[in-house]
Amino acid sequence: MKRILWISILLFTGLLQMHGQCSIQISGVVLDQHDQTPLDFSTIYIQETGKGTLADSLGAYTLKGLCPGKVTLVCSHIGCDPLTISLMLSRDTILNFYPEHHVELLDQVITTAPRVAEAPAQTRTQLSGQELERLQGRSLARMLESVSGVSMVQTGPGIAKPMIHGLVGNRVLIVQNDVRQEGQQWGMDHAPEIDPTMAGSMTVIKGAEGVRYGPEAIGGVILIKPDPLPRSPGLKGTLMTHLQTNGRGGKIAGQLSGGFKRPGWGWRATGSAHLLGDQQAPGYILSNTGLQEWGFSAQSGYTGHKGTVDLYYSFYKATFGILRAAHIGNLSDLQAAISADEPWIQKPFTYEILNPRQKVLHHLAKLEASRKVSAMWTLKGRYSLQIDERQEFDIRRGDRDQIPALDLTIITQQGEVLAEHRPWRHFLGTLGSSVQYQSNYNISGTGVQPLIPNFSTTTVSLFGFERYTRPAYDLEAGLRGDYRVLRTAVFDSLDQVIYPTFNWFNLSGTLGGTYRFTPAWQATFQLASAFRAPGAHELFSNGLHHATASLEIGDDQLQIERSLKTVLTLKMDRPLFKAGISGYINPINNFIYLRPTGDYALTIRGAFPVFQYIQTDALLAGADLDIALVIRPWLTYSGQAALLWSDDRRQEEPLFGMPPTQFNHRMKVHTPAGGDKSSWSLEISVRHVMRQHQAPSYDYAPAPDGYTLVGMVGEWQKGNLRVNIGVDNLFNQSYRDYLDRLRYFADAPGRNGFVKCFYHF
Amino acid sequence: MNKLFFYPALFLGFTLLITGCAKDPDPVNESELITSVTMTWTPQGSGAPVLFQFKDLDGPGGAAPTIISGALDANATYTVSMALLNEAVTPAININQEILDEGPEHQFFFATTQGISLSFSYDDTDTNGAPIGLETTMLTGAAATGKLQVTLRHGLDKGAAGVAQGDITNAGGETDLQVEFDLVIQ
Repeated sequence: MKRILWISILLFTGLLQMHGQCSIQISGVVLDQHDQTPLDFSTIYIQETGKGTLADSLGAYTLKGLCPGKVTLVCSHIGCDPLTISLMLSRDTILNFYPEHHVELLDQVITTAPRVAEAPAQTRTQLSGQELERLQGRSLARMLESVSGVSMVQTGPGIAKPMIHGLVGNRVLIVQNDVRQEGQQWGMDHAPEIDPTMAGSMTVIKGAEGVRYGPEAIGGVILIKPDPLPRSPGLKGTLMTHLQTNGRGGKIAGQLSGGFKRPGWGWRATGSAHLLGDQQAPGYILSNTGLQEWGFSAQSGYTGHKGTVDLYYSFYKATFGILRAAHIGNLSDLQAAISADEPWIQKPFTYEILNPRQKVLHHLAKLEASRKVSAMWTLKGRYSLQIDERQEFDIRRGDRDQIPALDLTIITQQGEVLAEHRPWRHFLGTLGSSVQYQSNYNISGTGVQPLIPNFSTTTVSLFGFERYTRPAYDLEAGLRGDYRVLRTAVFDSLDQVIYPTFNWFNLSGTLGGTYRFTPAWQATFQLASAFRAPGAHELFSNGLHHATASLEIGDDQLQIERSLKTVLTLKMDRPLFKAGISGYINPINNFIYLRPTGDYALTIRGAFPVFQYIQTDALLAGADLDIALVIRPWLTYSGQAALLWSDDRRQEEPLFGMPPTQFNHRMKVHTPAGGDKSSWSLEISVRHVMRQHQAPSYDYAPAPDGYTLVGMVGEWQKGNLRVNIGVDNLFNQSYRDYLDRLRYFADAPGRNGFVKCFYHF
Repeated sequence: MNKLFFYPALFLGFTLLITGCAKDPDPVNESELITSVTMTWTPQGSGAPVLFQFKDLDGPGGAAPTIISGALDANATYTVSMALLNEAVTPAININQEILDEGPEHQFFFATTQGISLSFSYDDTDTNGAPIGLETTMLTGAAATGKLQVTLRHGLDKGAAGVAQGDITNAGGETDLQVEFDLVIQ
């Protein structure tokens, strides 16, 4: 978030008389970049010594008794990106700050990287700028996997879902440009319907942020936001190409943005195409694992001092192939596939995607406006419409290959009204109400009994949160009430349509704080509750799930799932050494999951194990560790570790599908960046995933062995052009990942070489 | 402040007007379902045919299937024909025709528990001349009791070793049907 572009700095060094040791003074004012209004009560502190001060109501500040030498000043104000300025201090200095003060107060507070006076009491990690760009070309979940504590649940190479601290799918909320993403997320093979190239930043919130973002954020929240729109004329753009050897394809994406003649108005358009053929495991082709993805987004808006308007539309379309050998008829087929070393169907490489495959289409349209209604309050309104279509094609008898076996459309409308107040006696807060109406229905003509019934949900919510900010600490508290009605339409035993209706009311709350011991050290604590109402599939499933060779039975007596997650984070931020450790404990009441009953149902395809959705009290606890070291000016190391322990407290055994312990190491050699000169770097990464020892006994196959992958990427940059050349899985290691649903059938992909070019203009 | 709460109140009022309801489901004809498998054992020479039948009219889950089988004569030759139906819809769909139409993708296999002597040969062929198994000839051995397992594979490799002779080991493909009958040879 170092948007140096937006920052203008005026630096005057007065030719005053020399002072003795440690009596130098820095003074100046903090003014809004646009209208030069004083930004009162900004925090200015010196990173090296931790000394700081608050600007007065006119934005003026003075720091006294400073020693000569290098100092790094950090100026921050609520609603602004923090400014960092380094200078060599030798005499009294006048230094004025001109931060860009955002009118979108709330968003700013919610979505920027943690910094003094801005750090919300949540453990969050943000990917943006070049760091994000380097990850582009991969799936959304793969990109987010670079954040410690985030793992990926896959269905083969193409389909991946992000998992936060062991929770996935309906328990992780994805927010695209401030709109809760609503698609089909109940299946493990349902990848989020988002094109990651529209993102200017991706933020992972590891706390259970149910208060701000609403139901289902039990595991955490992923915020995906485009960059702010330009406000002045001038055309800018980015072009990316990514080519890779494994799958023999790649991705091309572009972005154009500009401003209109009328000041404050801007626009942006993004587009991408992603094409991959069959991927290759060491030794064999993973037949039918290709993918085709298209994304498009357009946005236009106005940002002024009095208010904002934002209109956004995004479109996503994808076809995913599912490994052909993973399609099985019954339990003995599954057992045969597990005991075989290689998948039983291997065909020559092709780009063609045959059945089983998925076709997904997602539209999102949003209109948002905010207006300053008084010196204190800003009102914001938001309306969004999402249409999500999912078709799944199975291997079928007769001429039914072109008829989807599952054909679902889900239409979601959301409306939100927020009232945000500016800092008042160090308090900053928001009151809000939202309504969501969702209708999900099966398109007829599939010739297959639908897995989930037609349903509609209405959710009405009221929420509010306040933050109290002082230079040394922040405190935060919030409360939310949600009322949800789920209406379903199902056939009863006499083939009459009945409408079972469910009502849930839930209160959730959050309490947290950040304490800054010194500018380099800070601790964050958060206690947050969130809930998830049972999904229609959990209530009403009743049928054969071919992909897992099991008969799945729902339970319409299921209760709300509630979690109370505590996260404690300790961070150290020094120029040469950064470290963060965060520990969490997440007890989840009435955790819903599928468990084998031990019974077998006899069908015409043979006997199938019966699985039922049951509830338990689950306990998840773990820790994430991040370290970054500057060993030499040209050599850096960064490391990550993630551990998770799980317990099904009613059954007294671990939970199924929890991420194993993993370690990531990166060593990077680089030349100094910047200027017109070209710069380069070379990075070697080692990823070690241990075997999941904490696996429940009812899995079809034991957890696969741990593995170590080595990757390498070189980067060359000159001016606006950046080129990355690299190799994933350098040693073509054969491995299976515990979180990959296709681990029963085939190895994960092998070596992959790639070339990625970024051109900014 | 009144103005401040006016909009949220208006908004909440609006939401009460949303009276959402779930769309009525359309009845689904499970066109692909196989509900009934009937094996008709016609003794060569004289004698009444023997019927083996597996019926699960409500498909997977729900009510348990009904299975009947009869006694076969020892050391006899039977002409066996399979009849596959979907009786969950009216009129019932004859699945045999679908299997014949996609002959190269389908094949039946027959296996017995140990100690039973039952050999079979395919009497029908697909367009490539490979067996399907809707029509077979079975030879019973000495008197014994056990189980007979009938498997229909889809998308298998008919060229693999032993498959044309009725050995399922290398067949691959996925199972469309797998039923077990009590087998009494007397």
